[in-house]
Amino acid sequence: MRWRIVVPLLAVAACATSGKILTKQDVLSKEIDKARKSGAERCAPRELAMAVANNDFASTDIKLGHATDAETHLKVAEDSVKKALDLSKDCGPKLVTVGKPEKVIIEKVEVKDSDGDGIPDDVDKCPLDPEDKDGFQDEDGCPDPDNDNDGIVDTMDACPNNPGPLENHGCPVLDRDGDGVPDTEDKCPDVPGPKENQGCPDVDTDGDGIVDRLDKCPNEPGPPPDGCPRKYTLVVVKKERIEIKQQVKFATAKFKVLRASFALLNQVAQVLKDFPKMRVRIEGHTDNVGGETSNLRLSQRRADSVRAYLVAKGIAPDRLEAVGYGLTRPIASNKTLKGRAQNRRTEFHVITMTGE
Amino acid sequence: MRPVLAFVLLGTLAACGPTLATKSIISADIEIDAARAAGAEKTAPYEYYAAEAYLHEARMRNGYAEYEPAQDYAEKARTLAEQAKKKAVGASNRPEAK
Repeated sequence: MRWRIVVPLLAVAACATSGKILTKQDVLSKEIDKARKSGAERCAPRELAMAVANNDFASTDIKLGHATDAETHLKVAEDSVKKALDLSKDCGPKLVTVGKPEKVIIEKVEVKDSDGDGIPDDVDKCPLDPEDKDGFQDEDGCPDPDNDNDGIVDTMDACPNNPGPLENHGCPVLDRDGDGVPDTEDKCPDVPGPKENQGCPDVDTDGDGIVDRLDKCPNEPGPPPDGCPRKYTLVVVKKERIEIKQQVKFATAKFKVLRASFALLNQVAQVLKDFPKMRVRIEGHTDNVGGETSNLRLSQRRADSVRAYLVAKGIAPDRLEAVGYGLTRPIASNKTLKGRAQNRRTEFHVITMTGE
Repeated sequence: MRPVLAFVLLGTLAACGPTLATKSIISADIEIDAARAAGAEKTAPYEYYAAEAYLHEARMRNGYAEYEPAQDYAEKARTLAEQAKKKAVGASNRPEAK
């Protein structure tokens, strides 16, 4: 079984080595040409001959699959061509000047560029590897096979300068709303939302703090865990208020809550316990019998009494506001007995259900 | 009879490799000696040294039983040596510059 692993590994290694040698040989051939043009055949014939011959031997070794021998020959050839280039530095034809020689300025600058990438060796960080000139860090002289370092070579990368996964052809996965759901899978790419809701924001129709997706009763406010309303007998929890089925009773012209209303207020307290983030405004209202100021004061004291009762039942004071409106907000006519009875009332308005 | 004939034929052909390579190496060796005698080392150094390098490699390959490249290199060595000799002879026939 071991050969099934070893053979492909050896094949891959052989391919990689062969590619490297071929690249080296390509560079060397260019160097030999350069040396020849510099006049090495005249000034460094032995070195040039050695370089040419050993390069030729390396070609045969590559064809025969003798990587080690090829490398040995290439090394000899490289050393020889370097010597040849050095020896042929001043090998160009002599400049012959006629008349006024003092005006002739001879300036020869030897620029060496081993890998032929147009970047001189003295500034080339990779003098033997030609720069790939793909518009990315082309000035350093080193090839950048994977500009964005995303593990996908530029030739295969649809976005070579922006990192991205292979599944996205090397391009970055966009998530405009930053909700962790990629735009390609996000039904609401500009509004954050959970993955479970395809990236769209959750809706809470009944405002009970439990999103519709998790709410078994999405149209009726109800406490966790299922969001369905509890069976209260004396109160009804609505989105904007806690409706009471009977009035809170006080002694005439007094603000003390009568025992008869304890059961009702106990259920209000239970609602507040079931919705631990709910905040409520307790409103006190009166009819128009008596003075405006005295009614205002009485309604405030009655609202304060209700609040005190609920606090005594364990509700945090900061969740309760008490406001007395006096006779200013009637809901029925003060001209009739029935209307005035309706106007004397206590209301529980929901400020917030979710604490936001 | 046929298998025996085929065996003999194959054996003969296989023996051709080393024979041809050796023959080429000897031929190149003689040619390089001639080039040296003509002064090619100085007058045609590139060809002369290239010929020497190819001949050396031809001998090496022959020793490793790589007869085909050995013969190729020996042939190249011989050609280069001929060129070197020709240049050397040409240079020696040229009148001295005054």
